[in-house]
Amino acid sequence: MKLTTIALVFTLSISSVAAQAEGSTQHSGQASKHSVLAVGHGAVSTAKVASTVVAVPLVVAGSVALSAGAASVQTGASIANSGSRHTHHGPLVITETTITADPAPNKVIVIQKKQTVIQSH
Amino acid sequence: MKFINIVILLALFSLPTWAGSQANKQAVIAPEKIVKFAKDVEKYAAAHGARAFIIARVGRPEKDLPKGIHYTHTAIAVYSNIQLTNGETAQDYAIHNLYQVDGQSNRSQLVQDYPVDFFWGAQTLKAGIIIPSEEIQTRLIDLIANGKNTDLHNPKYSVIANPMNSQLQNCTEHTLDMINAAIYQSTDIEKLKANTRAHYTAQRVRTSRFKLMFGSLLMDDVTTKDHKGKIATATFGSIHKFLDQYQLAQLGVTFYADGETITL
Repeated sequence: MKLTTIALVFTLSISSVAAQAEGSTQHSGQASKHSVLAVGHGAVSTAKVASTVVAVPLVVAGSVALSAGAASVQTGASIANSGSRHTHHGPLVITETTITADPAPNKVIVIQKKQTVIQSH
Repeated sequence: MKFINIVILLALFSLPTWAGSQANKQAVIAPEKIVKFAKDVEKYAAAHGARAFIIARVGRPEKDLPKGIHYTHTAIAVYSNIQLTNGETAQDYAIHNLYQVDGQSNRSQLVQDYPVDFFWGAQTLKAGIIIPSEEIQTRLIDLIANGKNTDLHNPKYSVIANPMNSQLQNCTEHTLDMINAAIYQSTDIEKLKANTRAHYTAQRVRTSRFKLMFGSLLMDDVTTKDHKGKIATATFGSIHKFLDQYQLAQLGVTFYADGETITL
């Protein structure tokens, strides 16, 4: 009996410690984050939050910012070359919007359902 | 029986709980504080004209981190044109990460997210920031924009991967590999590893053999099989030392929630 108990405690404890070490699962964490950001709790509601379609690295040349793809097409040269010819030293413009990655499709549904429930109250 | 109990207790308290490259952990800090901190980090980097920079977070309680290791996750942030789902386009940083696969901790995948996602699971609102030289920034952008960073990805994951070879990889080693790819303008991994061995000094992992033994026995993402002799791995701090040594870093700081910065 004692051995069984010890084995059980051992297994459960290892599971919990290992889980702590590995962190929470990707999508459960995402769902929670998106629930908070989407619904807006406390001060978060004052921040504009947006999800994204796509992000393209920018090549900044002086005051002109080109998307990496556009720069490649237009110049026919590598981005490294175009960048080295136009060294940028000044501050960059950053959006005030908080941008977040989209959660997995099944989690989007869960979040949407939560929002509906909250809105209906 | 007593002996077994002691061994079990030792094993449980000895597991290395300090590392890992987990995506999207549950927030332990108030979300509004994370949102503000993430935006403050972005603004700091933007104010310094950083088009690409190395970013790190503390994903474990700092008291659990081994001596000499101050961050648990490192990646590269790139100033990007971001198309939003509402139709607008914004300029901000996109972060290019290597994260462990959900439910498969000894495997990794490349994931792009944003600062608020990056810091969501942070245990402390503290960011490591290294802004490389202009040339390295441009080459990192080139590497990522052309998708060549994926050539450097090894999905076999270990928390304490040895950066001197390509057997296993973690988030910081992947970041180091990208930096070396930018320096040598090559994605030939053997060439990059030869240069890593010649010019880079990894951080010794000062934790007990006992911990590592139980870790490797009980946790899929902890193994010493790619090491010979003393255990050393890539860290944010050792990457800064490397770039600084070869005059390839413009700026290296620890950025805190109150806006204070401490030079590395």
